[in-house]
Amino acid sequence: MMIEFILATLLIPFAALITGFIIPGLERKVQARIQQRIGPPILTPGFWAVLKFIYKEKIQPNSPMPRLFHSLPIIGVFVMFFAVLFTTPEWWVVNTLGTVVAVVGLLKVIEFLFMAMGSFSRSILSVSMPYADQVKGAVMKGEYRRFFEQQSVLRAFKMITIGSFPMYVAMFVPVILAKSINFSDIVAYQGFDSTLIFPGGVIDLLYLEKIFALKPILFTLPGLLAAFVYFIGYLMMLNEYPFSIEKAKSDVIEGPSLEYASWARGGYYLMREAILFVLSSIFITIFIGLPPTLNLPLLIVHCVLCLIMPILFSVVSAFSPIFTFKQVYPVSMGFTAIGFLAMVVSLIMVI
Amino acid sequence: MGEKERKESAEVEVPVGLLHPAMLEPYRARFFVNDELIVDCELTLDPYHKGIERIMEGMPVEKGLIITERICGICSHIHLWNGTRAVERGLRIKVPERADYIRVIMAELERLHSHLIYLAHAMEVLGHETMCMRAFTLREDVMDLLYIISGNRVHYAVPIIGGIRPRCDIDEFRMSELHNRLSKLDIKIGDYANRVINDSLIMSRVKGTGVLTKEEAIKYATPGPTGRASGINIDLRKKMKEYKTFDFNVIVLDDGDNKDRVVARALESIESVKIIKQALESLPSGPISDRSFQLKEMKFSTSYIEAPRGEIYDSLALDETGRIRNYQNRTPTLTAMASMEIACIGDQLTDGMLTMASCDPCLACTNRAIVVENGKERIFTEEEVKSLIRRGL
Repeated sequence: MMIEFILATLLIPFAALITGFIIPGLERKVQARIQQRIGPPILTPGFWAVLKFIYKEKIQPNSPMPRLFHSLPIIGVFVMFFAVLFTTPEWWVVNTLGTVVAVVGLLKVIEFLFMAMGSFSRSILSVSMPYADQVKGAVMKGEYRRFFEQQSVLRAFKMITIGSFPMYVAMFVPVILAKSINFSDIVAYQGFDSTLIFPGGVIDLLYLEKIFALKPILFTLPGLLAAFVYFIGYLMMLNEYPFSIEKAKSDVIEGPSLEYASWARGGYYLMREAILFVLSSIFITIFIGLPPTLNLPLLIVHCVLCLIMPILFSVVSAFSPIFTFKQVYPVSMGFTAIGFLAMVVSLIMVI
Repeated sequence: MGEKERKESAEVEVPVGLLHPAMLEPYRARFFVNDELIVDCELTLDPYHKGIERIMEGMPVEKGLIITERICGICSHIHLWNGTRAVERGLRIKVPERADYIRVIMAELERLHSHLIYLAHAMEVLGHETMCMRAFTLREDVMDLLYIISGNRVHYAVPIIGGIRPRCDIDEFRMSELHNRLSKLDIKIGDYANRVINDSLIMSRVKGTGVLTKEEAIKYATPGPTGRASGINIDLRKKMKEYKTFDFNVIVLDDGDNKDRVVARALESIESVKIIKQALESLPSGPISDRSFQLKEMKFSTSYIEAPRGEIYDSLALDETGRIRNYQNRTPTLTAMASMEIACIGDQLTDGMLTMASCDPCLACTNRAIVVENGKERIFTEEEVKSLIRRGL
């Protein structure tokens, strides 16, 4: 048991990392093909870019607390490392960690990290621009001047309150159906027997048959509704088009990550890759009933399935403009309402 | 809709620029915002000075006119044409009809080129990368047509005093190429415009934002398609003798919002294709230039023309040796941008930047300066200019 616990702790995050390297390239490739461009090689944006940034000249960010600012993406990577582990059957033996609530807590940390990044960043592209224009004849003189990053922090705060509703509401639909917050019960409800993995060893091709025996929540009415809502929440959580107001290029440029350069930029990319994988992985675990396990074929299937959601989001992103809060509020409210509908339907099914 | 009120205080100021990815060219925008809503805005448009007017002072006229083409990289032909036109009007030089037709074809191709860049940039600021890329793809076709006629993609150097350059004449090969490519381009631009207008996500961003009423547009002298999108029915092409033989519609819209400014340019592009087709079908035969004129002293001569962004004004005089005196050039961005200061009030901050882009700003055209003190022109040293900029003057 202990050996498998250690192996899972090392190998499953490693598999997540490998998949994470592919996801940004895949995302860019799909968008490029839609736009009738060739696009970059698959590994370039996710792997080679990170490697390149690690070896670039170290640049001191314009930040009141540069060390903390630099460490935030690394904290994010570790938070996501634990989020992956919490969804693995080998870790479910640790009390209360293998639960939806624990993962929601970790995702909240990630949301907070974006706010922290913005708070500690002071780009030269806005207030610090050496251009003396305050003496001009504006009606308003001496107003408090806000950095782009501070503006994006406000947006991040709004997104925490309004933007994260759809995802969390959707995540609790499987909880209602399985009548438990434990991942073990949720996957068991869908026909996944976690006890069979341990004697199966690392390579057990026969276990692939079990995949076809699964009864995913995704294929039920509340599950389908919740999956749809989860996808919108996924876009909001990732701050991707059309919900990328937090890092809208037209005004706040890159938002919280504007000052990240060299290895810290590499770390930021890693964090994003980790979030991309984790959110997909949670979806596969709670809606299809296939968690990341030490069983190699199952792990590969899990990782391949994790690529579907980024592909879908690339398609949506390619055809969407950035929403301002005028659009974000009604969209979020609407999908939250659909999520609640899915919860009500699940409750009716359970009762 | 009444005039927008400019409030006296705001929660914060969000300064944007000089360097910013949403700004194709350098300007400074100070947005005064409450939460996300813009309550006031101040623009500074003149951080850089090219000194084109100063450079041209005393240059031989034909050499100097080539520099007018360098005022802008997008509407280079129209600047050269208007400068040439001012000289031709002053010296009463008659331009052959064929040359006028080819000048019009180039101007309309350039309008297409400019409007397609505009659409691409507007989509980029909206965050719609796919439609941005598609507009740039369409623009490539137009660039090819410009290349076929002039042999260049940016600075075409087509007009000369008295006509056009011999290399820019439209022969049979060029004629058939233009016909073939234009027929496809027409359909593609129509499809693109339909796609944009029928996209509810794009419309949700552009409809009702950046509203500039007709009264405001008149007050701020908003030129070109930006003014026409606010209901001002003025298009200089309807008054120009070069355009008299062509049948085309002036696109005038009423809402004055970002949607109308985008749609106006999309529809104008279709009208431009219509003009080019008519010009090709009825292209007169005959000479392409009349170079029998004598350069002599010319009193102050002016010319107005409808560039892609609005009216351009050129004026100059020639001394007895044919050298340029007092060249002046006014471009449409100055007033177009000034009107956007008021148009963005009440918008979300993100929409504010879209509103700025929606007037199709071209600072490369706009930023020129001549300082006259006590009736004499004054030349500043580099240090003096830097000092002025530092002081925000």
